[in-house]
Amino acid sequence: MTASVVVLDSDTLSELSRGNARVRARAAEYLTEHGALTITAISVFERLRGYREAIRNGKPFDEHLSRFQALAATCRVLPVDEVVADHAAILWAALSKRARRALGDILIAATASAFGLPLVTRNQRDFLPMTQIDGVPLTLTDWSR
Amino acid sequence: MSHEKRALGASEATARTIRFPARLRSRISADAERCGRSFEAQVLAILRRHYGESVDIAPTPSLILALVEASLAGMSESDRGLVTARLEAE
Repeated sequence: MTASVVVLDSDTLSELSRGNARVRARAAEYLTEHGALTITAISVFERLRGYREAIRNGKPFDEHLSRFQALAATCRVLPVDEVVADHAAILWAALSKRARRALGDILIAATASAFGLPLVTRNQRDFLPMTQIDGVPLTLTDWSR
Repeated sequence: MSHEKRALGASEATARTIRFPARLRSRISADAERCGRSFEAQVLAILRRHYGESVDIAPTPSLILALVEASLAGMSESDRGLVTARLEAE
C-alpha cells in the first residue's frame, strides 16, 4: 500500500528521538517508502533554539546540535511563507485566547494545511480544534497508536 | 490559498534503488579501484560527468533514524524537556 506523504509535528519528532518503539516502527516503514521525513521549519527552529539556549547555559550539546543539523539535512523541511502565514492567521483568529498561546502548533498546523499534507501528531487535544476551521483543511494522523 | 503542488514539486530530489547486473558491477568496481574511489562514488562520478547534474546517495532509513535518536541521546529528562520546548506566545 502506498501511504501519502505526511508532516511530522515537533512532538512526534521528539517521540522518535526518544526511541518510542511504535513511532519508530511507523517511521521506518515510512522512510522505506518515501526516503525522507517531512518536517516544518518551525520544528527545526524549536529544536535549534533549544540546543543553542542549552549550549549558551553551559550544557555540552554541540554534538547533539550537529546530529540534529545532519538529520534536518536529510529531511524535507517545509517553509513558512505567505500561504502558510495566511492559514496561520485564519487559525489564530478562530482559536480561543488560551489556544493562541501555542504559536508553534498553529504554525505547524498551518504549514501542513497549506501544503495539503496530513499532520502526524499525538496531540489530538490541541490540534483537533484546528481541523474544524473553514479555510484551513487540516487532517491528523497518529503514529503512536 | 494553497500550494500543494509545490510541496512535492518535480524539482525535488528523488531517491531510487538501482540494481546492477554482476558483470556491470565488476566493471564499475574495477574502474572505481583504478580511480581510487568507492563503488558508489564511481557511479556518482559517472552520472555527474554524463549529465552535469548534482546527484547524491540518499541516506538509508536506519541512518536517518540513528540521527533522530542521536539528537537527544544521553540527555537527562529535564535537558530533553528544555531542548524540545515548544514555541509559545509570550
